[in-house]
Amino acid sequence: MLVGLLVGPADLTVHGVLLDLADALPGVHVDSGLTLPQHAILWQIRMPRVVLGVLVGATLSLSGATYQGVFRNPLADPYLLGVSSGAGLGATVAIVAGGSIGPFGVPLLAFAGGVVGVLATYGLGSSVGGGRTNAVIVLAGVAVAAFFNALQTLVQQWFDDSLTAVYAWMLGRLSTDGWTDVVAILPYVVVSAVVILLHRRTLDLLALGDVEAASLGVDPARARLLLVAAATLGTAAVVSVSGLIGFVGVVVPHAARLLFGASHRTLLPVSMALGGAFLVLTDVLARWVLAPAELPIGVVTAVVGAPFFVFVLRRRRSRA
Amino acid sequence: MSGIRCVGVTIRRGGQVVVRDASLAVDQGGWLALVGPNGAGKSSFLLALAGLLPAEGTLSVAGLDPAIAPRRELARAVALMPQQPVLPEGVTVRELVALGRAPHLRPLRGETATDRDAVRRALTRLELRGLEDRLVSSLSGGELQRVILARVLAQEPRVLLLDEPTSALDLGHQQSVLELVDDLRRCEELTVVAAMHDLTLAAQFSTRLALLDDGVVVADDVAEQVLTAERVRQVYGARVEVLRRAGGPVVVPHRTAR
Repeated sequence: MLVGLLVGPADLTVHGVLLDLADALPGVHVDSGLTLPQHAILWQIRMPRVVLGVLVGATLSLSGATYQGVFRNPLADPYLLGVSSGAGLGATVAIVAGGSIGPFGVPLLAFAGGVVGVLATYGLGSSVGGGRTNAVIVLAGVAVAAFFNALQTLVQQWFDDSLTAVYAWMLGRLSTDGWTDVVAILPYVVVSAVVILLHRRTLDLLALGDVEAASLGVDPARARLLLVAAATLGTAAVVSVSGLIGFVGVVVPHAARLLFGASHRTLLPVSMALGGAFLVLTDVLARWVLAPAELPIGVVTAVVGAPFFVFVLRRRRSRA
Repeated sequence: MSGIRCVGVTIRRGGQVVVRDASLAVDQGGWLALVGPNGAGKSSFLLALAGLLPAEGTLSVAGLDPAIAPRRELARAVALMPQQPVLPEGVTVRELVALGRAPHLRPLRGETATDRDAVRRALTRLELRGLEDRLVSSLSGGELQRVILARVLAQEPRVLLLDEPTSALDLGHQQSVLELVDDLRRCEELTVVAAMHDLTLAAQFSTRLALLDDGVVVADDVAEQVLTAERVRQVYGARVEVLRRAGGPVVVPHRTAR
Protein backbone atom coordinates (compact mmCIF):
# COMPACT_ATOMS: atom_id res chain seq x y z
CA MET A 1 0.00 0.00 0.00
CA LEU A 2 2.80 2.32 0.90
CA VAL A 3 4.44 1.74 -2.45
CA GLY A 4 1.17 2.73 -4.09
CA LEU A 5 1.17 5.96 -2.15
CA LEU A 6 4.77 6.74 -3.04
CA VAL A 7 4.72 6.19 -6.78
CA GLY A 8 3.24 8.83 -9.01
CA PRO A 9 4.01 11.74 -11.30
CA ALA A 10 4.30 14.23 -8.45
CA ASP A 11 7.42 13.92 -6.30
CA LEU A 12 6.59 13.09 -2.70
CA THR A 13 9.34 12.01 -0.35
CA VAL A 14 9.04 8.75 1.61
CA HIS A 15 9.75 10.69 4.73
CA GLY A 16 7.03 13.25 4.03
CA VAL A 17 4.37 10.68 3.20
CA LEU A 18 5.09 8.68 6.34
CA LEU A 19 4.92 11.73 8.56
CA ASP A 20 1.74 12.92 6.87
CA LEU A 21 0.15 9.52 7.43
CA ALA A 22 1.19 9.61 11.08
CA ASP A 23 -0.30 13.09 11.35
CA ALA A 24 -3.66 11.71 10.30
CA LEU A 25 -3.76 9.33 13.26
CA PRO A 26 -5.93 10.65 16.06
CA GLY A 27 -3.89 12.32 18.78
CA VAL A 28 -0.72 12.53 16.70
CA HIS A 29 0.45 15.89 15.43
CA VAL A 30 3.62 16.07 13.42
CA ASP A 31 4.69 18.40 10.67
CA SER A 32 5.28 16.28 7.56
CA GLY A 33 6.94 19.04 5.60
CA LEU A 34 4.59 18.36 2.68
CA THR A 35 3.18 21.42 0.93
CA LEU A 36 -0.57 21.82 0.73
CA PRO A 37 -0.80 20.61 -2.91
CA GLN A 38 1.35 17.60 -2.00
CA HIS A 39 -0.94 16.88 0.91
CA ALA A 40 -3.93 17.05 -1.45
CA ILE A 41 -2.29 14.70 -3.95
CA LEU A 42 -1.66 12.19 -1.18
CA TRP A 43 -5.18 12.26 0.28
CA GLN A 44 -7.36 13.04 -2.74
CA ILE A 45 -5.59 11.14 -5.50
CA ARG A 46 -3.21 8.47 -4.30
CA MET A 47 -4.96 7.32 -1.15
CA PRO A 48 -8.39 6.74 -2.74
CA ARG A 49 -6.73 4.90 -5.60
CA VAL A 50 -4.85 2.59 -3.27
CA VAL A 51 -7.97 1.97 -1.18
CA LEU A 52 -9.94 1.26 -4.36
CA GLY A 53 -7.23 -1.15 -5.48
CA VAL A 54 -7.41 -3.02 -2.19
CA LEU A 55 -11.21 -3.21 -2.37
CA VAL A 56 -11.27 -4.34 -5.99
CA GLY A 57 -8.47 -6.89 -5.58
CA ALA A 58 -9.85 -8.29 -2.34
CA THR A 59 -13.38 -8.58 -3.74
CA LEU A 60 -12.39 -10.19 -7.03
CA SER A 61 -10.24 -12.73 -5.17
CA LEU A 62 -12.88 -13.45 -2.55
CA SER A 63 -15.57 -13.91 -5.22
CA GLY A 64 -13.27 -16.14 -7.25
CA ALA A 65 -12.55 -18.34 -4.22
CA THR A 66 -16.29 -18.49 -3.49
CA TYR A 67 -17.28 -19.46 -7.04
CA GLN A 68 -14.57 -22.13 -7.06
CA GLY A 69 -15.87 -23.56 -3.79
CA VAL A 70 -19.56 -23.39 -4.67
CA PHE A 71 -19.17 -24.97 -8.10
CA ARG A 72 -16.41 -27.32 -6.92
CA ASN A 73 -14.53 -26.22 -10.00
CA PRO A 74 -11.01 -24.80 -9.85
CA LEU A 75 -11.60 -22.96 -13.14
CA ALA A 76 -14.68 -21.10 -11.94
CA ASP A 77 -14.10 -17.38 -11.81
CA PRO A 78 -16.20 -14.33 -12.60
CA TYR A 79 -15.05 -14.50 -16.24
CA LEU A 80 -15.88 -18.11 -16.95
CA LEU A 81 -19.28 -17.92 -15.29
CA GLY A 82 -20.58 -15.04 -17.39
CA VAL A 83 -20.74 -12.67 -14.41
CA SER A 84 -18.20 -10.25 -15.81
CA SER A 85 -19.57 -10.20 -19.34
CA GLY A 86 -23.10 -9.76 -18.00
CA ALA A 87 -21.93 -6.92 -15.80
CA GLY A 88 -20.04 -5.53 -18.79
CA LEU A 89 -23.21 -5.45 -20.85
CA GLY A 90 -25.12 -3.80 -18.01
CA ALA A 91 -22.44 -1.16 -17.48
CA THR A 92 -22.21 -0.43 -21.21
CA VAL A 93 -25.95 0.13 -21.41
CA ALA A 94 -25.72 2.44 -18.42
CA ILE A 95 -22.81 4.42 -19.91
CA VAL A 96 -24.60 4.72 -23.24
CA ALA A 97 -27.77 5.91 -21.55
CA GLY A 98 -25.68 8.57 -19.85
CA GLY A 99 -26.88 10.34 -16.71
CA SER A 100 -30.55 9.65 -17.35
CA ILE A 101 -30.66 6.71 -14.94
CA GLY A 102 -29.04 8.39 -11.97
CA PRO A 103 -25.56 8.37 -10.44
CA PHE A 104 -25.77 4.73 -9.36
CA GLY A 105 -26.96 3.53 -12.75
CA VAL A 106 -23.68 1.89 -13.70
CA PRO A 107 -23.30 -0.24 -10.53
CA LEU A 108 -27.00 -1.20 -10.56
CA LEU A 109 -27.15 -2.24 -14.20
CA ALA A 110 -23.77 -3.96 -13.88
CA PHE A 111 -25.11 -5.94 -10.97
CA ALA A 112 -28.31 -6.85 -12.82
CA GLY A 113 -26.23 -7.95 -15.80
CA GLY A 114 -23.93 -10.02 -13.58
CA VAL A 115 -26.87 -11.80 -11.97
CA VAL A 116 -28.47 -12.51 -15.36
CA GLY A 117 -25.09 -13.80 -16.55
CA VAL A 118 -24.56 -16.26 -13.71
CA LEU A 119 -28.21 -17.40 -13.81
CA ALA A 120 -27.96 -18.05 -17.54
CA THR A 121 -24.75 -20.04 -17.08
CA TYR A 122 -26.16 -22.00 -14.18
CA GLY A 123 -29.51 -22.66 -15.86
CA LEU A 124 -27.95 -23.67 -19.14
CA GLY A 125 -25.35 -25.85 -17.43
CA SER A 126 -27.85 -27.74 -15.28
CA SER A 127 -30.48 -28.19 -18.02
CA VAL A 128 -28.00 -29.49 -20.58
CA GLY A 129 -25.72 -31.39 -18.22
CA GLY A 130 -28.35 -33.24 -16.20
CA GLY A 131 -26.28 -33.01 -13.04
CA ARG A 132 -24.24 -29.86 -12.67
CA THR A 133 -21.11 -31.43 -14.02
CA ASN A 134 -18.00 -29.29 -14.01
CA ALA A 135 -17.26 -29.40 -17.71
CA VAL A 136 -20.79 -28.45 -18.71
CA ILE A 137 -20.89 -25.44 -16.38
CA VAL A 138 -17.64 -24.15 -17.82
CA LEU A 139 -18.84 -24.66 -21.40
CA ALA A 140 -22.14 -22.95 -20.60
CA GLY A 141 -20.19 -20.04 -19.11
CA VAL A 142 -18.14 -19.70 -22.28
CA ALA A 143 -21.30 -19.66 -24.40
CA VAL A 144 -23.06 -17.12 -22.18
CA ALA A 145 -19.97 -14.89 -22.04
CA ALA A 146 -19.61 -14.95 -25.82
CA PHE A 147 -23.28 -14.07 -26.27
CA PHE A 148 -23.17 -11.18 -23.80
CA ASN A 149 -19.91 -9.88 -25.23
CA ALA A 150 -21.52 -9.86 -28.66
CA LEU A 151 -24.56 -7.96 -27.36
CA GLN A 152 -22.26 -5.54 -25.60
CA THR A 153 -20.28 -4.91 -28.80
CA LEU A 154 -23.57 -4.34 -30.62
CA VAL A 155 -24.77 -1.75 -28.11
CA GLN A 156 -21.38 -0.09 -28.10
CA GLN A 157 -21.18 0.20 -31.90
CA TRP A 158 -24.74 1.45 -32.13
CA PHE A 159 -24.00 4.37 -29.85
CA ASP A 160 -20.46 5.03 -30.97
CA ASP A 161 -20.25 8.50 -29.47
CA SER A 162 -19.58 6.92 -26.07
CA LEU A 163 -17.07 4.46 -27.52
CA THR A 164 -14.08 5.91 -25.68
CA ALA A 165 -15.75 5.72 -22.29
CA VAL A 166 -16.83 2.14 -22.89
CA TYR A 167 -13.39 1.07 -24.14
CA ALA A 168 -11.62 2.67 -21.23
CA TRP A 169 -13.98 0.82 -18.93
CA MET A 170 -13.51 -2.54 -20.65
CA LEU A 171 -9.73 -2.49 -20.42
CA GLY A 172 -9.97 -2.07 -16.70
CA ARG A 173 -8.56 0.78 -14.70
CA LEU A 174 -8.54 2.25 -11.23
CA SER A 175 -9.83 5.77 -11.48
CA THR A 176 -8.32 8.86 -9.96
CA ASP A 177 -11.41 10.95 -9.30
CA GLY A 178 -11.14 11.07 -5.54
CA TRP A 179 -13.25 9.05 -3.18
CA THR A 180 -16.43 8.80 -5.33
CA ASP A 181 -15.83 5.25 -6.60
CA VAL A 182 -14.75 3.98 -3.21
CA VAL A 183 -17.92 5.34 -1.61
CA ALA A 184 -20.10 4.01 -4.44
CA ILE A 185 -18.99 0.37 -4.14
CA LEU A 186 -18.19 0.18 -0.42
CA PRO A 187 -21.68 -0.88 0.78
CA TYR A 188 -21.99 -3.68 -1.79
CA VAL A 189 -18.46 -4.91 -1.20
CA VAL A 190 -18.90 -4.98 2.57
CA VAL A 191 -22.23 -6.84 2.42
CA SER A 192 -20.77 -9.36 -0.02
CA ALA A 193 -17.65 -9.95 2.08
CA VAL A 194 -19.56 -10.28 5.36
CA VAL A 195 -22.02 -12.81 3.93
CA ILE A 196 -19.26 -14.90 2.38
CA LEU A 197 -16.96 -14.81 5.42
CA LEU A 198 -19.83 -15.86 7.70
CA HIS A 199 -20.35 -18.88 5.45
CA ARG A 200 -16.72 -19.94 5.17
CA ARG A 201 -17.51 -23.19 6.98
CA THR A 202 -20.41 -23.87 4.61
CA LEU A 203 -17.94 -23.66 1.73
CA ASP A 204 -15.77 -26.32 3.39
CA LEU A 205 -18.84 -28.54 3.72
CA LEU A 206 -19.96 -27.96 0.12
CA ALA A 207 -16.51 -29.19 -0.95
CA LEU A 208 -17.57 -32.62 0.33
CA GLY A 209 -20.35 -32.88 -2.23
CA ASP A 210 -24.06 -32.37 -1.79
CA VAL A 211 -24.82 -35.65 0.00
CA GLU A 212 -22.15 -35.26 2.65
CA ALA A 213 -22.80 -31.54 3.07
CA ALA A 214 -26.48 -32.30 3.65
CA SER A 215 -25.66 -35.07 6.13
CA LEU A 216 -23.62 -32.50 8.07
CA GLY A 217 -26.54 -30.10 8.33
CA VAL A 218 -26.25 -27.84 5.27
CA ASP A 219 -28.99 -27.29 2.71
CA PRO A 220 -26.76 -27.34 -0.40
CA ALA A 221 -29.16 -25.64 -2.81
CA ARG A 222 -29.94 -22.77 -0.46
CA ALA A 223 -26.31 -22.28 0.59
CA ARG A 224 -25.18 -22.25 -3.04
CA LEU A 225 -27.78 -19.65 -4.01
CA LEU A 226 -26.86 -17.35 -1.13
CA LEU A 227 -23.11 -17.58 -1.75
CA VAL A 228 -23.42 -17.06 -5.51
CA ALA A 229 -25.67 -14.04 -4.91
CA ALA A 230 -23.16 -12.53 -2.47
CA ALA A 231 -20.17 -13.16 -4.74
CA THR A 232 -22.05 -11.75 -7.73
CA LEU A 233 -23.03 -8.62 -5.80
CA GLY A 234 -19.39 -7.96 -4.91
CA THR A 235 -18.04 -8.74 -8.37
CA ALA A 236 -20.64 -6.67 -10.17
CA ALA A 237 -20.11 -3.66 -7.90
CA VAL A 238 -16.35 -3.83 -8.36
CA VAL A 239 -16.49 -4.43 -12.10
CA SER A 240 -18.83 -1.47 -12.51
CA VAL A 241 -16.16 0.99 -11.34
CA SER A 242 -12.95 -0.77 -12.29
CA GLY A 243 -13.96 -2.36 -15.58
CA LEU A 244 -12.84 -5.81 -16.57
CA ILE A 245 -9.72 -6.68 -14.63
CA GLY A 246 -8.95 -10.28 -15.42
CA PHE A 247 -6.85 -13.00 -13.83
CA VAL A 248 -7.18 -11.83 -10.23
CA GLY A 249 -10.19 -14.00 -9.34
CA VAL A 250 -8.56 -17.21 -10.47
CA VAL A 251 -4.84 -16.65 -9.80
CA VAL A 252 -4.99 -15.20 -6.31
CA PRO A 253 -7.20 -17.90 -4.69
CA HIS A 254 -5.04 -20.57 -6.32
CA ALA A 255 -1.87 -19.03 -4.99
CA ALA A 256 -3.47 -18.74 -1.55
CA ARG A 257 -4.56 -22.38 -1.71
CA LEU A 258 -1.13 -23.63 -2.70
CA LEU A 259 0.58 -21.59 -0.02
CA PHE A 260 -1.82 -21.93 2.92
CA GLY A 261 -4.08 -24.93 2.23
CA ALA A 262 -7.62 -25.24 0.94
CA SER A 263 -9.62 -24.82 4.14
CA HIS A 264 -11.87 -21.83 3.50
CA ARG A 265 -11.38 -20.54 7.03
CA THR A 266 -7.88 -19.44 6.07
CA LEU A 267 -8.32 -19.39 2.31
CA LEU A 268 -10.90 -16.59 2.23
CA PRO A 269 -9.07 -14.03 4.39
CA VAL A 270 -5.72 -14.88 2.80
CA SER A 271 -7.21 -14.50 -0.70
CA MET A 272 -8.60 -11.10 0.24
CA ALA A 273 -5.27 -9.89 1.62
CA LEU A 274 -3.23 -11.25 -1.29
CA GLY A 275 -5.77 -9.94 -3.81
CA GLY A 276 -5.68 -6.43 -2.35
CA ALA A 277 -1.90 -6.37 -2.27
CA PHE A 278 -1.63 -7.87 -5.75
CA LEU A 279 -3.88 -5.29 -7.34
CA VAL A 280 -2.19 -2.31 -5.67
CA LEU A 281 1.19 -3.58 -6.83
CA THR A 282 0.02 -4.18 -10.39
CA ASP A 283 -1.53 -0.71 -10.37
CA VAL A 284 1.87 0.71 -9.39
CA LEU A 285 3.40 -1.15 -12.31
CA ALA A 286 0.66 0.12 -14.63
CA ARG A 287 1.44 3.70 -13.64
CA TRP A 288 5.18 3.28 -13.75
CA VAL A 289 6.02 1.26 -16.88
CA LEU A 290 4.96 3.92 -19.41
CA ALA A 291 5.09 6.87 -16.98
CA PRO A 292 3.71 9.45 -17.12
CA ALA A 293 1.19 7.60 -19.34
CA GLU A 294 -0.76 4.70 -17.78
CA LEU A 295 -1.17 1.14 -18.95
CA PRO A 296 -4.65 -0.39 -18.47
CA ILE A 297 -4.38 -2.40 -15.27
CA GLY A 298 -6.15 -5.39 -16.87
CA VAL A 299 -3.15 -5.78 -19.16
CA VAL A 300 -0.75 -5.76 -16.21
CA THR A 301 -2.72 -8.29 -14.12
CA ALA A 302 -2.60 -10.72 -17.03
CA VAL A 303 1.10 -10.18 -17.76
CA VAL A 304 2.11 -10.40 -14.11
CA GLY A 305 -0.47 -12.99 -13.11
CA ALA A 306 0.35 -15.73 -15.57
CA PRO A 307 4.08 -16.13 -14.77
CA PHE A 308 3.33 -15.79 -11.05
CA PHE A 309 0.88 -18.65 -11.31
CA VAL A 310 3.43 -20.84 -13.07
CA PHE A 311 5.99 -20.00 -10.39
CA VAL A 312 3.62 -21.06 -7.58
CA LEU A 313 2.71 -24.25 -9.42
CA ARG A 314 6.36 -25.20 -9.90
CA ARG A 315 7.15 -24.45 -6.30
CA ARG A 316 4.45 -26.83 -5.15
CA ARG A 317 5.64 -29.55 -7.52
CA SER A 318 9.19 -29.36 -6.26
CA ARG A 319 8.03 -29.52 -2.64
CA ALA A 320 5.73 -32.52 -3.11
CA MET B 1 -36.56 -43.16 21.77
CA SER B 2 -33.31 -43.04 19.81
CA GLY B 3 -34.01 -46.17 17.86
CA ILE B 4 -35.37 -46.46 14.36
CA ARG B 5 -38.88 -47.34 13.18
CA CYS B 6 -39.92 -47.66 9.56
CA VAL B 7 -43.37 -48.71 8.44
CA GLY B 8 -44.31 -49.28 4.80
CA VAL B 9 -41.34 -47.33 3.41
CA THR B 10 -41.09 -47.00 -0.36
CA ILE B 11 -38.20 -45.13 -1.99
CA ARG B 12 -37.99 -44.00 -5.58
CA ARG B 13 -34.84 -42.91 -7.38
CA GLY B 14 -35.07 -41.47 -10.86
CA GLY B 15 -38.63 -42.80 -11.27
CA GLN B 16 -37.64 -46.34 -10.27
CA VAL B 17 -38.75 -48.02 -7.08
CA VAL B 18 -35.55 -49.03 -5.25
CA VAL B 19 -37.10 -49.99 -1.89
CA ARG B 20 -40.66 -51.33 -1.72
CA ASP B 21 -42.92 -51.30 1.34
CA ALA B 22 -40.12 -51.96 3.84
CA SER B 23 -40.91 -52.17 7.56
CA LEU B 24 -37.89 -52.38 9.86
CA ALA B 25 -37.20 -51.46 13.45
CA VAL B 26 -34.20 -51.43 15.75
CA ASP B 27 -34.17 -50.29 19.38
CA GLN B 28 -31.76 -47.76 20.82
CA GLY B 29 -28.36 -49.36 21.30
CA GLY B 30 -29.04 -52.04 18.70
CA TRP B 31 -27.06 -52.87 15.55
CA LEU B 32 -29.08 -53.53 12.43
CA ALA B 33 -27.08 -55.01 9.58
CA LEU B 34 -28.47 -54.56 6.07
CA VAL B 35 -27.29 -57.28 3.72
CA GLY B 36 -28.20 -58.21 0.19
CA PRO B 37 -26.74 -58.32 -3.32
CA ASN B 38 -25.49 -55.22 -5.17
CA GLY B 39 -28.40 -52.94 -6.06
CA ALA B 40 -30.74 -54.43 -3.45
CA GLY B 41 -31.49 -50.94 -2.04
CA LYS B 42 -29.23 -50.88 1.04
CA SER B 43 -27.60 -47.53 0.26
CA SER B 44 -30.91 -45.93 -0.72
CA PHE B 45 -32.39 -47.06 2.56
CA LEU B 46 -29.53 -45.46 4.52
CA LEU B 47 -29.88 -42.21 2.53
CA ALA B 48 -33.60 -42.10 3.31
CA LEU B 49 -32.90 -42.62 7.03
CA ALA B 50 -30.47 -39.67 6.87
CA GLY B 51 -33.16 -37.52 5.23
CA LEU B 52 -31.18 -37.33 1.98
CA LEU B 53 -33.70 -39.17 -0.20
CA PRO B 54 -37.46 -38.63 -0.06
CA ALA B 55 -39.43 -41.67 1.06
CA GLU B 56 -43.10 -42.62 1.30
CA GLY B 57 -44.34 -44.26 4.48
CA THR B 58 -43.53 -43.59 8.13
CA LEU B 59 -39.94 -43.05 9.25
CA SER B 60 -38.69 -42.21 12.70
CA VAL B 61 -34.96 -41.88 13.34
CA ALA B 62 -33.75 -40.90 16.82
CA GLY B 63 -37.24 -39.53 17.46
CA LEU B 64 -37.13 -37.33 14.36
CA ASP B 65 -38.93 -37.57 11.05
CA PRO B 66 -36.09 -37.20 8.51
CA ALA B 67 -38.46 -35.76 5.92
CA ILE B 68 -39.41 -32.70 7.98
CA ALA B 69 -36.73 -32.29 10.69
CA PRO B 70 -34.45 -29.25 10.27
CA ARG B 71 -31.15 -30.25 8.62
CA ARG B 72 -28.89 -29.18 11.45
CA GLU B 73 -31.00 -30.85 14.12
CA LEU B 74 -31.01 -34.06 12.11
CA ALA B 75 -27.25 -33.79 11.56
CA ARG B 76 -26.66 -33.57 15.32
CA ALA B 77 -28.58 -36.81 15.86
CA VAL B 78 -27.80 -38.87 12.76
CA ALA B 79 -24.43 -39.34 11.07
CA LEU B 80 -23.88 -41.04 7.73
CA MET B 81 -20.62 -42.58 6.61
CA PRO B 82 -20.85 -42.63 2.81
CA GLN B 83 -19.55 -45.50 0.74
CA GLN B 84 -17.51 -43.31 -1.60
CA PRO B 85 -16.55 -40.14 0.22
CA VAL B 86 -15.70 -37.04 -1.81
CA LEU B 87 -12.16 -35.83 -1.16
CA PRO B 88 -11.57 -32.11 -1.35
CA GLU B 89 -8.11 -31.08 -2.61
CA GLY B 90 -5.62 -29.62 -0.18
CA VAL B 91 -7.50 -30.46 3.02
CA THR B 92 -5.72 -32.11 5.95
CA VAL B 93 -6.92 -35.03 8.04
CA ARG B 94 -7.59 -32.80 11.04
CA GLU B 95 -9.55 -30.30 8.96
CA LEU B 96 -11.73 -33.03 7.45
CA VAL B 97 -12.45 -34.64 10.81
CA ALA B 98 -13.24 -31.22 12.31
CA LEU B 99 -15.99 -30.77 9.72
CA GLY B 100 -17.92 -33.37 11.70
CA ARG B 101 -18.47 -30.67 14.31
CA ALA B 102 -20.25 -28.40 11.82
CA PRO B 103 -23.82 -29.13 12.95
CA HIS B 104 -22.84 -28.38 16.57
CA LEU B 105 -21.23 -25.00 15.94
CA ARG B 106 -23.12 -21.77 16.51
CA PRO B 107 -23.21 -19.66 13.34
CA LEU B 108 -21.14 -16.73 14.64
CA ARG B 109 -18.79 -18.60 16.96
CA GLY B 110 -15.73 -20.65 16.25
CA GLU B 111 -14.86 -24.03 17.68
CA THR B 112 -15.03 -24.35 21.44
CA ALA B 113 -12.93 -26.56 23.71
CA THR B 114 -15.70 -29.18 23.52
CA ASP B 115 -15.42 -29.29 19.74
CA ARG B 116 -11.62 -29.57 19.72
CA ASP B 117 -11.89 -32.27 22.36
CA ALA B 118 -14.36 -34.31 20.30
CA VAL B 119 -12.06 -34.07 17.27
CA ARG B 120 -9.03 -35.13 19.33
CA ARG B 121 -10.91 -38.11 20.81
CA ALA B 122 -12.09 -39.24 17.38
CA LEU B 123 -8.55 -39.01 15.98
CA THR B 124 -7.15 -40.99 18.91
CA ARG B 125 -9.84 -43.67 18.74
CA LEU B 126 -9.08 -44.36 15.09
CA GLU B 127 -5.30 -44.30 15.60
CA LEU B 128 -4.91 -41.25 13.40
CA ARG B 129 -2.62 -39.26 15.70
CA GLY B 130 0.47 -38.54 13.63
CA LEU B 131 -1.50 -38.41 10.39
CA GLU B 132 -3.35 -35.20 11.35
CA ASP B 133 -1.39 -32.88 9.08
CA ARG B 134 -1.34 -35.17 6.06
CA LEU B 135 -3.47 -34.22 3.08
CA VAL B 136 -6.49 -36.51 2.75
CA SER B 137 -5.71 -36.89 -0.95
CA SER B 138 -2.44 -38.63 -0.05
CA LEU B 139 -3.95 -41.36 2.14
CA SER B 140 -4.41 -45.05 1.37
CA GLY B 141 -7.94 -46.46 1.05
CA GLY B 142 -7.81 -47.94 4.53
CA GLU B 143 -6.49 -44.79 6.20
CA LEU B 144 -9.14 -42.77 4.42
CA GLN B 145 -11.95 -44.98 5.65
CA ARG B 146 -10.70 -44.49 9.20
CA VAL B 147 -10.56 -40.71 8.65
CA ILE B 148 -14.17 -40.62 7.43
CA LEU B 149 -15.25 -42.76 10.37
CA ALA B 150 -13.42 -40.34 12.69
CA ARG B 151 -15.38 -37.45 11.16
CA VAL B 152 -18.61 -39.33 11.75
CA LEU B 153 -17.61 -39.99 15.40
CA ALA B 154 -16.70 -36.32 15.89
CA GLN B 155 -20.29 -35.57 14.91
CA GLU B 156 -21.32 -37.36 18.17
CA PRO B 157 -24.60 -38.68 16.78
CA ARG B 158 -27.15 -40.92 18.48
CA VAL B 159 -27.68 -42.93 15.31
CA LEU B 160 -24.80 -44.09 13.12
CA LEU B 161 -25.51 -45.00 9.49
CA LEU B 162 -22.60 -46.85 7.88
CA ASP B 163 -22.48 -47.69 4.18
CA GLU B 164 -19.95 -50.50 3.70
CA PRO B 165 -17.72 -49.17 6.49
CA THR B 166 -14.94 -51.71 6.00
CA SER B 167 -14.90 -52.34 2.25
CA ALA B 168 -11.40 -50.89 1.79
CA LEU B 169 -9.85 -52.44 4.89
CA ASP B 170 -7.77 -55.57 5.38
CA LEU B 171 -9.13 -58.25 7.67
CA GLY B 172 -7.35 -56.96 10.80
CA HIS B 173 -8.56 -53.38 10.32
CA GLN B 174 -12.05 -54.63 9.45
CA GLN B 175 -12.26 -56.34 12.80
CA SER B 176 -10.77 -53.47 14.79
CA VAL B 177 -13.02 -50.84 13.19
CA LEU B 178 -16.12 -52.95 13.74
CA GLU B 179 -15.05 -53.66 17.36
CA LEU B 180 -14.65 -49.93 17.87
CA VAL B 181 -18.15 -49.19 16.54
CA ASP B 182 -19.46 -51.99 18.74
CA ASP B 183 -17.74 -50.45 21.82
CA LEU B 184 -19.36 -47.11 21.09
CA ARG B 185 -22.70 -48.76 20.65
CA ARG B 186 -22.43 -50.46 24.04
CA CYS B 187 -20.87 -47.57 25.99
CA GLU B 188 -22.92 -44.73 24.57
CA GLU B 189 -26.14 -46.51 23.62
CA LEU B 190 -25.54 -45.64 19.99
CA THR B 191 -27.90 -47.14 17.43
CA VAL B 192 -26.08 -48.54 14.39
CA VAL B 193 -27.46 -49.33 10.95
CA ALA B 194 -24.79 -50.71 8.64
CA ALA B 195 -24.96 -51.92 5.06
CA MET B 196 -22.45 -54.76 4.98
CA HIS B 197 -21.08 -57.05 2.32
CA ASP B 198 -19.43 -59.72 4.44
CA LEU B 199 -22.22 -61.94 5.74
CA THR B 200 -20.05 -63.51 8.44
CA LEU B 201 -18.97 -60.17 9.92
CA ALA B 202 -22.55 -58.89 9.61
CA ALA B 203 -23.75 -61.89 11.59
CA GLN B 204 -21.02 -61.54 14.24
CA PHE B 205 -21.57 -57.85 14.97
CA SER B 206 -25.29 -57.19 14.43
CA THR B 207 -28.06 -57.65 16.95
CA ARG B 208 -30.49 -57.90 14.06
CA LEU B 209 -30.02 -58.64 10.39
CA ALA B 210 -32.25 -57.66 7.48
CA LEU B 211 -31.80 -59.28 4.08
CA LEU B 212 -32.87 -57.16 1.10
CA ASP B 213 -33.44 -58.47 -2.38
CA ASP B 214 -34.41 -56.14 -5.22
CA GLY B 215 -35.79 -53.53 -2.82
CA VAL B 216 -37.83 -55.94 -0.72
CA VAL B 217 -37.04 -57.07 2.83
CA VAL B 218 -37.11 -60.86 2.48
CA ALA B 219 -36.00 -61.66 6.03
CA ASP B 220 -35.54 -59.63 9.21
CA ASP B 221 -34.53 -61.39 12.40
CA VAL B 222 -31.45 -62.41 14.40
CA ALA B 223 -28.63 -63.60 12.14
CA GLU B 224 -29.06 -67.31 13.02
CA GLN B 225 -32.61 -67.21 11.64
CA VAL B 226 -31.91 -65.14 8.52
CA LEU B 227 -28.75 -66.78 7.22
CA THR B 228 -29.54 -70.22 5.90
CA ALA B 229 -27.74 -71.87 2.99
CA GLU B 230 -31.00 -72.15 1.10
CA ARG B 231 -31.89 -68.45 1.48
CA VAL B 232 -28.40 -67.27 0.52
CA ARG B 233 -28.60 -69.48 -2.57
CA GLN B 234 -31.98 -67.98 -3.55
CA VAL B 235 -31.05 -64.34 -3.00
CA TYR B 236 -27.40 -64.25 -4.05
CA GLY B 237 -27.38 -67.16 -6.48
CA ALA B 238 -24.37 -68.44 -4.52
CA ARG B 239 -23.43 -71.90 -3.31
CA VAL B 240 -22.51 -71.63 0.36
CA GLU B 241 -22.30 -73.63 3.52
CA VAL B 242 -23.46 -72.02 6.76
CA LEU B 243 -21.50 -73.23 9.79
CA ARG B 244 -23.06 -72.73 13.21
CA ARG B 245 -20.44 -71.23 15.53
CA ALA B 246 -20.61 -69.67 19.00
CA GLY B 247 -19.92 -66.11 17.74
CA GLY B 248 -22.65 -66.38 15.09
CA PRO B 249 -23.19 -68.22 11.83
CA VAL B 250 -20.23 -68.40 9.44
CA VAL B 251 -20.98 -68.27 5.72
CA VAL B 252 -18.43 -70.16 3.63
CA PRO B 253 -18.39 -70.28 -0.16
CA HIS B 254 -18.63 -73.84 -1.35
CA ARG B 255 -16.98 -75.41 -4.37
CA THR B 256 -17.20 -79.00 -5.44
CA ALA B 257 -13.85 -80.46 -6.45
CA ARG B 258 -13.41 -81.06 -10.18
